Amino acid sequence: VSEPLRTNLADLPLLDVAAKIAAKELSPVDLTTAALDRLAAVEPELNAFVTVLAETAMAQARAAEADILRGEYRGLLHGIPVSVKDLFNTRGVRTSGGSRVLAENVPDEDATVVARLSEAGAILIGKNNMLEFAYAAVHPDYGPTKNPWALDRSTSGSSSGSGAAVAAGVGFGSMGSDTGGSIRLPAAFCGIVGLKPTYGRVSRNGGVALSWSCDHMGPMTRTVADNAAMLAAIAGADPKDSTSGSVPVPDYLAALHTDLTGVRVGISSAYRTPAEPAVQAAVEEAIAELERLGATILDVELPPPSEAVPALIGLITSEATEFHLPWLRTRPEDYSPAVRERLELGLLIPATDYLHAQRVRRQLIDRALPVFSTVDVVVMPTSPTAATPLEGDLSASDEADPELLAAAINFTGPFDLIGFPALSIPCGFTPSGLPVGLQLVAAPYEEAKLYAIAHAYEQATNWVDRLPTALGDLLGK
Amino acid sequence: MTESGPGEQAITPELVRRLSALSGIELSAERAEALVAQAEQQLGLMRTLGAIEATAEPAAELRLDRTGGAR
Repeated sequence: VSEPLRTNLADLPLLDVAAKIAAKELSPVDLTTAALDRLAAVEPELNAFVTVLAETAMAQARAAEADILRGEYRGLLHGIPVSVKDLFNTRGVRTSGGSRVLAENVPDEDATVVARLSEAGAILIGKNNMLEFAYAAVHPDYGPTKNPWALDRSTSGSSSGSGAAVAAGVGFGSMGSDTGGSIRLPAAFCGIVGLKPTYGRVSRNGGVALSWSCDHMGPMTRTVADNAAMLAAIAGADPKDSTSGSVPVPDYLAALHTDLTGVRVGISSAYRTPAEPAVQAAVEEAIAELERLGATILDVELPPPSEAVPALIGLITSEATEFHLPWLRTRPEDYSPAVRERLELGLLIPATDYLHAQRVRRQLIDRALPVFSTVDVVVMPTSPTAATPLEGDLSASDEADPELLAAAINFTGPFDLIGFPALSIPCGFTPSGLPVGLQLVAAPYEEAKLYAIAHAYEQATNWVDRLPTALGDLLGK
Repeated sequence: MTESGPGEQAITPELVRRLSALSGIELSAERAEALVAQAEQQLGLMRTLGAIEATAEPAAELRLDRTGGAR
């Protein structure tokens, strides 16, 4: 594992460069140049981007600089280079969903989160590679994204390019989507912070759907505070999303602290295994650290993955197939083999099974809510493994592999089903130097609690200071 | 191989083809054959879903800001 080396502008946390911009010590033009230089240095090796918007990004940076010099500073994201997964609609810019089916798709309107980032003054430097339609397989037209910690390892997915870009210092945050773990798993594999917000906290409008019931949009960043700053910019009610919630957006940054005295942290036995020993050891040490910081550790029982994940897969499979049916009828050969197979499997699920899964969802929500009257958060591994080899990865398979998919999302999928917020943060490394993710889960709309506890842990450790091991090789090329 | 429960049909290539045809998808015999093992996994997962309370309603349009869990 490399030593702390965050001295290059491109590798600094978002809030550090935001402070420099606010103080007029740093120009958005220089910052965007640094981000684009880093992009040029690591691409196409990482394969984290499908579209680079260098020209428009520089124009936006010059406009931001002029605004700020006029005294029209918009806030923490003003002049900050970011990217978005290529399933968020961008007006006039191709939105492929990582697919051949939408390879020529140019939307005429921004997704709500893209519009909100733009209103906050963020600079869009590009659109990230992803698994095809966020459905667990790489389309051969795009190819896999490599992990900046080990180029022969997977980033997981489906927000694969977002995870790799943020870890490699290409922009200061990215927007991902998460239906079974697609923000948190790449965050864990790439050693960054990823939030799957409460269902309804962030608008889904303008994101290519995988499963309307379980899709969540959220930020991926290098630190917890950075993540809070991005969520603040994109969260809140949206009349364009019927499931958008009306709960006011709190001041997430004001809620950050470093003392966990009085905080109750739950451990649920169903979420301790199966995890590989190095992952389990890192998570156990993280729990011990939380206790040293003043938290009280309590045993609780969340509804287990064995009940939640099959219901989630039933919902995703049915809804994805319904969404894709027109294309599946007319151009099935344009899908990768595994995604086509998953979509075809969705044709076989009876409506009664789909509705049963929706009833299970309701029942598991009712069972999970009381847990959070006894604890503030529940913690567990984000993934049963650290980054797996690219060769033989689930995303490279030509088959649907429902049971393998269920195993991969064992710890993350349940919270897509019930919609509770879940945050993945770095909590250590395996002996071979791969990052490990710790997942924290809270009650609906309690993202501020997640951030507060995660920030305290982050401040007490130095995991986020480390630069990806393979980055030096990439920059030396 | 997933065992069929009472009243459930075994998954065969022909069943896969007929169910797909109901949605307007014409599968070749070879493709239907290849899907059988995956379909057994998929439907096997669904069969693990246990009994639920009779009062549990589908959560089809979820509004978590309207539950007791929201602040």
